[in-house]
Amino acid sequence: MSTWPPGHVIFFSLCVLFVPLAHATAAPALDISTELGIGGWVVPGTFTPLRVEVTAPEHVDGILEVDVPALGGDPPMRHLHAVRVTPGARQQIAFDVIISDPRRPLTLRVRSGRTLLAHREIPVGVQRTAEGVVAALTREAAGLEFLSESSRKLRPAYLGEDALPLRWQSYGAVDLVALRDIDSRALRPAQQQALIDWVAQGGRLLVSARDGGVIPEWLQPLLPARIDAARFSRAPGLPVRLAGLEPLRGGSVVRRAGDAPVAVRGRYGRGIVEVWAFDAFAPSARVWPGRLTLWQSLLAVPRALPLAHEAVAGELPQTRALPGSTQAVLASLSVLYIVALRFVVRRVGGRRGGWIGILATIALFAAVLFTFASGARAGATALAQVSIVESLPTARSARVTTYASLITPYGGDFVIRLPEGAGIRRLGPAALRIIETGRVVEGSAASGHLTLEATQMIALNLPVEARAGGGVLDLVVGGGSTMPVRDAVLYRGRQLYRLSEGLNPGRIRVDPARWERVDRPGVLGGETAGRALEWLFGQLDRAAGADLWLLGRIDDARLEIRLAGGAAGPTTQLLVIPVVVR
Amino acid sequence: MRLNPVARADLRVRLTSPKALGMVTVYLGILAALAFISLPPDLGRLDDLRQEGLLLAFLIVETVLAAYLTSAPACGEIAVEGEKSVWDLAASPFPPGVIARGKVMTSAAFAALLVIMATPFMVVVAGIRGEPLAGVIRAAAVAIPVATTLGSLGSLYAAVYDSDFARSFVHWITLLAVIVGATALPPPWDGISPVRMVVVAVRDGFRPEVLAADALYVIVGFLTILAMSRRIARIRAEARAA
Repeated sequence: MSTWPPGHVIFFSLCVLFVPLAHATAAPALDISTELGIGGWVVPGTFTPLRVEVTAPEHVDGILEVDVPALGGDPPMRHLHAVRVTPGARQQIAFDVIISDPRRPLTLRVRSGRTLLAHREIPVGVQRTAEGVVAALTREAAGLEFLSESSRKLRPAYLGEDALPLRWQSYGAVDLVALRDIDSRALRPAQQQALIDWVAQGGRLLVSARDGGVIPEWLQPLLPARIDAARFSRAPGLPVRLAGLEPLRGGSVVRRAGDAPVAVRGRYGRGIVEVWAFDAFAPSARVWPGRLTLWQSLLAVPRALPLAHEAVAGELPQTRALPGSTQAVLASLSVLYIVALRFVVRRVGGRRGGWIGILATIALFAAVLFTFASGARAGATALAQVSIVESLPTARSARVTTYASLITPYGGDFVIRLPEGAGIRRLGPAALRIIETGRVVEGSAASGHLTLEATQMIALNLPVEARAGGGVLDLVVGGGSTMPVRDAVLYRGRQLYRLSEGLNPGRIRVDPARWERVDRPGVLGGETAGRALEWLFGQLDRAAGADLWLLGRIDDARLEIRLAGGAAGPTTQLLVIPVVVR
Repeated sequence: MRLNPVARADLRVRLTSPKALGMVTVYLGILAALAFISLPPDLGRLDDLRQEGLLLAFLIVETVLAAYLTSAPACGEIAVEGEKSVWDLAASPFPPGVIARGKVMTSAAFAALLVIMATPFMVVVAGIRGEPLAGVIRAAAVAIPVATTLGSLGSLYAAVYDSDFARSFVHWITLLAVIVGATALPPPWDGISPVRMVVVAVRDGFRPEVLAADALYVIVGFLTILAMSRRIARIRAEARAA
C-alpha cells in the first residue's frame, strides 16, 4: 500500500490553511465614512438621513447593506444599495432609515458576491436622540443656544449645503429650517426640491436676510416678502441692521420696527415661511434679547399634520379566502391519488418489480400536488391599498400617503415595487429588505399580513375655489390638470354634496337643497372607498385650513404599490382638495 | 440480491389482499382528510396558529398511524388473509433466524411503504405553507425505525402469546407506553417518544438526542430478532418433545 510522504501532507495542509487567508487579504481596503441624522441628531420613529461615502484604492463592484435594528424582537430593516467605485473616485449613498431603538447600533456591510469587503457598526446612543431639530444652513455656527431652555428636547444643527437632505422624507425630525448662507451652486436640484416639498406639506422655514446675501430663484416662490438686501439700514432701538422687506400677497407682518417690517410670515402649501429682515446668526443679533420672542413665536406656530393616518389602513382587507376552486382541485387530486394508487398496487403489487410502478405513481402525484400547492400559495399573496392624496394648491403638488395591506398566507415571502420617490415604513413586525436602487422591497411577514405606509409627493395642479355671493355658492374649478376625478363630493361639517355632474374645469353652481347629512355609517357604501371616505370626514372635521373640502376618487398609476408580477390589487385613491370660500 | 423468502411472501400478501388494501386506503383517507382540514378557507386568520404546528401535527399523526398499521398485522390484531404468523412459520423448514429476520424486514418494508405513500399529502401541507421538504424527510427518518421496531415487537408478541386477547392487550400497552407514556416522561427521557423525536427532527434537524433515540429503536429491533429466533427454536423444541 502506498502512503503520502509526510512533506506532501504538510504542504497540502498549509495550502488548505492559507487559501481562505489569501482570499481574505485579497479584498480591497475600503474607506467608508458615515453621517447619521440631521447634524448628528436622531428623532426615533422618524425618517433619518444616513449618508455613506465609499472610496477604494481599486475597482469595487458590490452591495452595501445597512441593518437597522428594531425594538423588541422585531426583525431589523435592511437597506441595500449597489456600490460601484473606481480607483480614486468616491461614491455617496443616501438612505432614509427609521431608528426605533437608539441603544443598538446600525450595522453596515459591503459585500462583493460572497466576500465581505467591509463591516462596521454605526453607534447611535440615547445621547444623540432629540424630540426635534432646528436645522440652520449657516456658516456662523452659533445663535441657537436658547433651544437648550426649550420645554421640548429641541436640538440645534448647523449645516453646510452638502448636509441638507436629498429627499423630503429626511426632514422628518426637523421642526424648523433656517436659511442664512445659501449658495445655490452648492445645492443640488434634489436638495432644493426636497426642501420645497417638505415646506409645502407643513414644514417651517425661516429665511434670514444677510448683508450681501442673494435669495436664489428657486426659493423666491416660497417667500411671503421680497428682501432688498442692498437696502440694509439701522432701525431705531434695535441692535441689528434691517434689510428692506416688502410683504407679498398672503404675507403678514409679524413684527415691525417703526414702519419697517422686521418679520413677515406667510404660507406655502400647508407650511409656514417667515422672512426676517436681519441676520439672525450675526454676532449683533445673538446678543439681542428681542430675537428670542421671534424664534419662540415661529416655533410655536402649529404645524399642519397630514390628514392621512394609519387608522385608515383598518378599512383595508386583511385576509383573503383560499378560492373554493383551489380547495376542490386539491380534494379531487387527493381522491384521485388514493384511487390510482389502489389500482396500481392491486395490479402490480404482487409482481416482480412491481414496486417501481408503485413508487412512480407516488412520485408523480407528489410532484403534481406539490406544484399545485405551491402555486396556490403564491397565488394567494395579495395586495390592497388606499391612497390619500392631499392637494397643496399653492405648491401645485400633493402629498400622497398610501397604506397597503399585504396578505401573505402563512408568512410567505413577497416582493413589491414602490412608486417613484416613495419612502416606506412598516406598520407591523416583518423582515424587510429595501433595495434602494430598484425601489424594490422584499420580505416576509410572520403573521401572514403586513401593513405598509408609503409617502411621496406628486405634481398636481387642480385649483378649486368657491365664490359666495347673493345667497348662492359657485365652485370654480381651474383647468391646470386633466386628472379625471370620479364620485366627487363637497364636504363641510357633517354634510356632503354630491357633484353628480362631474368635476370639469369651469363654474359649478352648488344647489343648497342637495346637501345631505352624514349622520349614519354606510351613507357612502360599504366598500373600502366608502368606508375610507367616511373615515376621512372625521379627519376633516378636526382639520383647519379650508372652508369646505372637495373629495373624489382618482386612478393614478404613479401612486400604486405593485407586487412583483405587476398586480396592484384593489386600489382606492382619494383626492382631498381644500376649498376656500371667497 | 435475494430477498428473504418470509418477507417476500408477507409483502406480496400485504400488497394484494383486499383487507390490506382496505387498510392502506383508510390510512391514506385519514391523511387526505387531515391535509384538507389543514387548508382553512381563510388563510389569513391563522395568526394564532404557528404555521409549522399544522405540518408537525400531520407528521405526528402519520408516524403514529404508520406505527400502528405496521404492528397490528404483525401481531395478528388485524389478520391479513394469507399472511403466515410466526407460529405457522415455526412448522416450516426455514431456520429460526430467517423467519425472525423476515418478519422484521416485512415490518421495515411496510413501514417505509406507508410513509412513502403519505408523501403526496405531506408535500401538499408543506407546499402550501412554504415549509422546506427537508423537515418532511427528517420526519420519515424517525417514523420508519419506530414503526419497524413496533412491527417487530408485534411479530414477537405473535410468537409469544397464543391468545388473541393477550396479544392485543400487550400490543396496545406497548403502543401507549411508547407514544403516550414516553411523551409524558420528564426530559431527557421524553426523547425516546416518537412524538418528541418528530418535533425535534422537524424543527431542529438531526440533533444527537434524535439520533440516539433512533439508534435505540434499531437496537431494540435487533434484540427482537434474537428473541424471536429463540422463541421459534423453543416452539420447535416443544413441538418435537410433544
